[in-house]
Amino acid sequence: MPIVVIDDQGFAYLDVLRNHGFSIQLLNDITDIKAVESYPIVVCDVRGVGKSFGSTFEGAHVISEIKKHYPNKILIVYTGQRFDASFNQYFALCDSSIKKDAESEQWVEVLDNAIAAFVDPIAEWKKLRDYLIDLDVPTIRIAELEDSYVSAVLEKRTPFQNEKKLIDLPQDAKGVLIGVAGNYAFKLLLDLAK
Amino acid sequence: MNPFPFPLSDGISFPPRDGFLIKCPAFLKTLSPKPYEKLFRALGNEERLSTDPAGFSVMPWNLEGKTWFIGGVRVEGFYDPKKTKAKIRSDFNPVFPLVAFVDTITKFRAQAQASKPEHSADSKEFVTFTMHEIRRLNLDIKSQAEEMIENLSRGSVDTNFLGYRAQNIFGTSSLVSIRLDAYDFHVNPAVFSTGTKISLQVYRKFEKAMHCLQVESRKKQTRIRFVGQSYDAIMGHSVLELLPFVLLENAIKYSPPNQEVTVTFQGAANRLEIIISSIGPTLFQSEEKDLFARDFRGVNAKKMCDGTGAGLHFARLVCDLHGIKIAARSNQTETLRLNGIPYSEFTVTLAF
Repeated sequence: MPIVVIDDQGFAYLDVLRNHGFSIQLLNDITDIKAVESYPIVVCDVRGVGKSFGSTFEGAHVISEIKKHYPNKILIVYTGQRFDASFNQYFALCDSSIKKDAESEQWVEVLDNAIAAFVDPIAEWKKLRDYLIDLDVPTIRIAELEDSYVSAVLEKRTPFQNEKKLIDLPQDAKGVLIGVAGNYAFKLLLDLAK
Repeated sequence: MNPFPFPLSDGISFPPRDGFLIKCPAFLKTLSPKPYEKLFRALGNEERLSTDPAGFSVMPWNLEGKTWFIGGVRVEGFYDPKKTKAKIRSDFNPVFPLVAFVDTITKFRAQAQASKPEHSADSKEFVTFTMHEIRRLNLDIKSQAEEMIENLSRGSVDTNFLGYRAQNIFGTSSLVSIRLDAYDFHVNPAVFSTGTKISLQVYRKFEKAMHCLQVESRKKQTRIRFVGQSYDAIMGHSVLELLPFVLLENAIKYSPPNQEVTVTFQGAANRLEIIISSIGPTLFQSEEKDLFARDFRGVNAKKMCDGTGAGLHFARLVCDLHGIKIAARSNQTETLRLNGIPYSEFTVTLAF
């Protein structure tokens, strides 16, 4: 599963983790959120990242933008600034946080867990559900969508294929739900089920 | 900070805040302080409203570790209308309903506490200790790396020696990370409960902590022995990894030389119990209730070595976050006495 690490200072464990079998790409920075589109797991440093976005929260701001555009990605923040409470709201958006000086064993653990969470249909739905709640989609509508998602998973077919049935949803939510079908994890799930 | 809880119309109270706006009565500025000093001494620090000789309400006001006095105000039931009427003249000094007075001072206290920089005083002490520890550990790393360089420069490559030193460097470096984590947790505990929980094998985490603490335990000639084993994994936040470090490091730190730290794993699946047993400075029974309190250190522990008193407090917070029951007990029977300090068996029990 493709993983991207965004860090302007390089990534010390790049080779070690590649030797563990992780498919990791390193980017020094991004100027457009679309740069992470094809990666289901994004690891992002806080300092020195996202300069072109012009936020004082740097990489933390990039994380919030990724979350906004791709709510079902697994986000891992990688930072030496855990002492600074002003970043907490951004850390809370992430699936996990890892300290800057973590050792390879901790990285392996965090990435293994990230992959497990990404291919877990329940975890994926929970992320989508939280996203829909944030968009103020009515609870009854979320329950209908959950039913549709669960049925698709059980019947081993792609969910949310009929765009007309999503017409009442905010434009962003519609795009994200349709995107689930093209999602790497979902394809993997369907492949496994076949 | 101006400790007066009411906004003043004559501009003394800044920044602006909610509450009843009043004007400081001009007559207050003409008063001799002496009779008031006597009155304030008599009132003490119990926050109770009463009436001063001039007819105004007065109340001791405990804020940020100091006792102040709120005066020059009129609170329903605690002022003399006749005496004060002449004194306030044109000054705006409304009579507060009691409930409004209580509400204002409560809100003011909450705001004062919220705006206070977190742990400003003890953070300095914590930073000092952390810096000292990091430099000490860094020195260990440097000296071991230098030994390796020297060994290599002599051309006699002893792989066993190099492997051993590399392990020590790794272990000591992990302790640097732990010190930094402890600082992060001290100033921003909320960050450790964010993110999803991950599966953590408790036994393996203790094993790792033991390996990383080998340099420290060798220095103290303290042996760590594991009894039993466990394959149980629990879902937790990454901060849980610090728990074995904190508990084992404490056990080594407070242990006199040539002693043993025993870690016992017992109980069936999902009912794991871990008992860390060591010899440490005797804790008086009266101190046991404070053992997990922040910054607390027992009298005998203070005599033995420096510390912050953050270890067990930190352990308790991590346990609370994961629903783990933690208990600690110091045996009152003295096992040995060293440099005048009594030592006895100390156990920490974790019930998962």
